Amino acid sequence: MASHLDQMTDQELLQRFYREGNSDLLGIVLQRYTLLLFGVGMKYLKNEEDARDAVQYVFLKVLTELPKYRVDYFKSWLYMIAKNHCLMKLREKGFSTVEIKESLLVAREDEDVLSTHTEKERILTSMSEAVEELSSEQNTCIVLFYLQKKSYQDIVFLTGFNLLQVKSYIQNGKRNLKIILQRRLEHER
Amino acid sequence: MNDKWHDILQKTGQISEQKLMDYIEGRMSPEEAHEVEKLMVDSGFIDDAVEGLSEMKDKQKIAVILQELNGHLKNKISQKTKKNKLLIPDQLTLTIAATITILLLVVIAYVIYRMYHSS
Repeated sequence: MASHLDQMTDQELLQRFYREGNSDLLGIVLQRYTLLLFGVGMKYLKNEEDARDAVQYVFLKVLTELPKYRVDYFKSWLYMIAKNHCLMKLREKGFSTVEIKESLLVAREDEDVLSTHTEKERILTSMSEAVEELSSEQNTCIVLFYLQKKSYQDIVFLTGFNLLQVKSYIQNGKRNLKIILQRRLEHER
Repeated sequence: MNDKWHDILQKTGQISEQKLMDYIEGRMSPEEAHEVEKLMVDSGFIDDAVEGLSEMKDKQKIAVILQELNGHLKNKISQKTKKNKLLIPDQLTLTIAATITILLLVVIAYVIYRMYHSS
């Protein structure tokens, strides 16, 4: 029975939870995220005890809130609860932070707008040109990462950028590339 | 078809605990690390978690903490289930309560009927 449940996707387990009201099903889904939640806690709170408390807070919040309404993007929702809780804790300690909205997260987690596009082939063809429009740092990192399949560490070694810069050039480069491609597609229509 | 950029359009998915730990502890080849990093680019959740877990000095401790947190979660769920069981009567309890209520109503109706007719 347990192994059968382990095979189910988050979405399937949550649908069953909404039908049957069995919290054990919710527990199976939540356990899949314990490590990620603890990691998020550690990133923002920089303290093991606080990170543990943050995870427990998220668990309790999900167990209380989820039965009340339907959540479509569970992973994004969970991340939003965890991150906002951490930011609130930081604010209590006097740090200045900006709360994130669910819509922003969904956009990031669900970045499949272009990949589901029927004009995928056209996108791939114009990608080479679009990459040239990026800044030289973003262009270098995007080419090394997606074309040459290099790891972050390899790119750090090859370019001399630090790890944070590499991550940022790839993330921002990918986002800019999508904007450029969308603009081109709209222009062609 | 020009598919050299195919990777950038591919939808990325979930990551297992094992893979995440292997990445954090540097037990991956550059190719495997690249696959995890593709997930990180697309998910702020995974990206933040990797950054946070990498800050742990004693990585061995993570497994212990994980076990404790999952233990707490199980306890919370079983407490919640017990509480719900106390609040929501099961089928048998409801049947017994309904039977007693009906019997009581019948007895009361009989008593009232007898009183009315005897007077």
